[in-house]
Amino acid sequence: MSGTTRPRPPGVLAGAAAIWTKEMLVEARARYSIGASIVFAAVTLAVLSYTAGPQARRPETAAVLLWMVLLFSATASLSHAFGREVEGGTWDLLRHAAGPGEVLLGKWLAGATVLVAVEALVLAGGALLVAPPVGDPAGLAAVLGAGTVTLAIGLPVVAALLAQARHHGGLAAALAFPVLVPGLFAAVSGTRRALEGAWPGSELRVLVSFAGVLAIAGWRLFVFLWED
Amino acid sequence: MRWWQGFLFVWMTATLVAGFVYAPLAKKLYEYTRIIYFHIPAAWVSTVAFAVAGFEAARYLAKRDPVADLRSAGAARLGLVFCALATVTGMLFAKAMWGEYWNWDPRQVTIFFLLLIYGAYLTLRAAIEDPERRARVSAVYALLALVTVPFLMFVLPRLSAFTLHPEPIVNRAGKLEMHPRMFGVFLSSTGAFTVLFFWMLSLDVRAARASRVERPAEGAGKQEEIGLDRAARA
Amino acid sequence: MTQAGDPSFAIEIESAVGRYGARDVVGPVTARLEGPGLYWIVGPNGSGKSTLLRMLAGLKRAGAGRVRWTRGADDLPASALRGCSGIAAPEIQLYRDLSVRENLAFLARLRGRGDAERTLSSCGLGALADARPMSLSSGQRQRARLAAAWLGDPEIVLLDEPSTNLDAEGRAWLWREVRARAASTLLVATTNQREELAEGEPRLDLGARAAA
Repeated sequence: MSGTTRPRPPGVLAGAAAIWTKEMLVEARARYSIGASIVFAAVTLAVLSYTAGPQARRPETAAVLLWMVLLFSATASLSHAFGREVEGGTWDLLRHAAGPGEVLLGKWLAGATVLVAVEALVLAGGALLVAPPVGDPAGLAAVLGAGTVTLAIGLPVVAALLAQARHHGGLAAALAFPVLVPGLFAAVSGTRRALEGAWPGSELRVLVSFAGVLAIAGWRLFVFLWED
Repeated sequence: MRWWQGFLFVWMTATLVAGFVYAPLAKKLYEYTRIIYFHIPAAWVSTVAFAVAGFEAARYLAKRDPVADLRSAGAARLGLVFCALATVTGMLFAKAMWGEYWNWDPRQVTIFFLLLIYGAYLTLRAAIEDPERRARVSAVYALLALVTVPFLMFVLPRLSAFTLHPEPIVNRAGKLEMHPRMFGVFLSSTGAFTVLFFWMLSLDVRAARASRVERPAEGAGKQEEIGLDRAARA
Repeated sequence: MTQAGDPSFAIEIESAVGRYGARDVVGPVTARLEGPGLYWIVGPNGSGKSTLLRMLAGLKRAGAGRVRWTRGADDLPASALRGCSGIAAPEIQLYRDLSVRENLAFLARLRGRGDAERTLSSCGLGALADARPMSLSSGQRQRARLAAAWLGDPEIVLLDEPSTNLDAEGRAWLWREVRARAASTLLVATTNQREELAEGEPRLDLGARAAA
């Protein structure tokens, strides 16, 4: 049978890269996510460190402070990842042009990028306002990395759920927090140990395995949120 | 009343009595020992309910059977009730033993977050009007939450070396540290609670099916098929 | 577009019903739409034209029955449609924070085909390529949607009330383009204006159901 060779759609990675690029372009212009999270992070950090006072420098307090700020600001920014597509009328455009794998992966990458930027500012602010001593910087970096990946994986999946509930109001925190709690607990515990100077080995193992389980579950379940 | 319902009534009554007159008291727990026969089974059932909700959610996504969705939602509702019971009985035990209703013991915290997951699931269902979308989306959340439960129940409490919870059954030494008669009553209570849960679930699903009034979709079945027409324009 | 000698694309609709909750809004529909060619879905407002089109686009599951896509003798999964189909509908918008050119370039990357500049110029949007969709008039925005649908000359194009918001010149351009593309593309368009149909063009008439 004769026929011309038809162009094929790109693979998952290339499609995800296209979506990541689009997200970054939109974010650079409209600053939907990063604007919300920076303001939230700054206010939360200031209020919490003020009320905690000198106690904020203690490892257990600083660890909780850090992850509370990151969790709330991440939720403020990433929980609208899909709702904006639905409300803007682009959800069907995306669904028709791309597959679920590249969309989810693209949103994960975009969310992680935004979180890294927010984290850098939070850490800078924390270093100024709280300045806790850091016993194991490598351990702290590892916990921050693993914790950021966990948030970046979990929150967009919750955002996809929220986008399906057309009147979701303040459901983001109610849905996200219980699901993310294991990662959050491990991140806080690991951060405390790193600040105290110990390598947070067991916490890192929990974080990595939790992030992995969340990623596999999210990947497999997203197809059911993809359909109408 | 069916025979097994009568049997369950006798079984639970006998267990309740045995908890007070047959099983000995644990060292250091004294009369507070009795709460083991209610608190732990309630916590166990709340986990079983969650597993059932997750299983039925997976079945719904695979088969799109509306009854699977009803079973999943029913299991979640009942799981919330048993989880609340476990939390409250645990708080009473904590107050009696350690002087505070809440001590941030890792197991207290994990059962509390299980309560939050149930609450979030039911709130999500209430926020979606379309039945098919509600079933599909809540099934996804149930399964997503299910993967976190092993971490909540088993991994995180072990991250903390400290716990106030006695560990007579599942403990680091891997040994049973409960008197055989206590263990017998405990198993009996756990079994009875489990059967009670499945009975309540069947009642819940039956009630939900009756209130749904399964009827064919509006407009279905009577319409003629529409096909291609090449008629000229009028 | 389908080249000479290529296996033809077709959409098989098998007693498909469009359903929202407990309400059937369209169907059952049975038809084979074989490309290349132009097919119509006609009916008044509320007759389910858009719902049926979404089902043909793979954006909505059939509540009963099914929709299949085929290329020659092979079934295509709904996921394969994205590389060979385009859609334009009133509720489908372009990204408001990207220019028209950036929107088309993004879609071309996802589909693996399409020249944004060529499409912009063929749709008369060359001068508006750097404008954001919200800054365009409703007619220009409709042209931008059509450009997104035709980007890469896909083998299947689905158009939901494509003449909406177009002035007389726009409508003339649209129907010239549609009928020219129908020689090499499977085109399905919805309308509630029966005078837009040419004599003998095949249609699925949802009007009798809605009137009942």
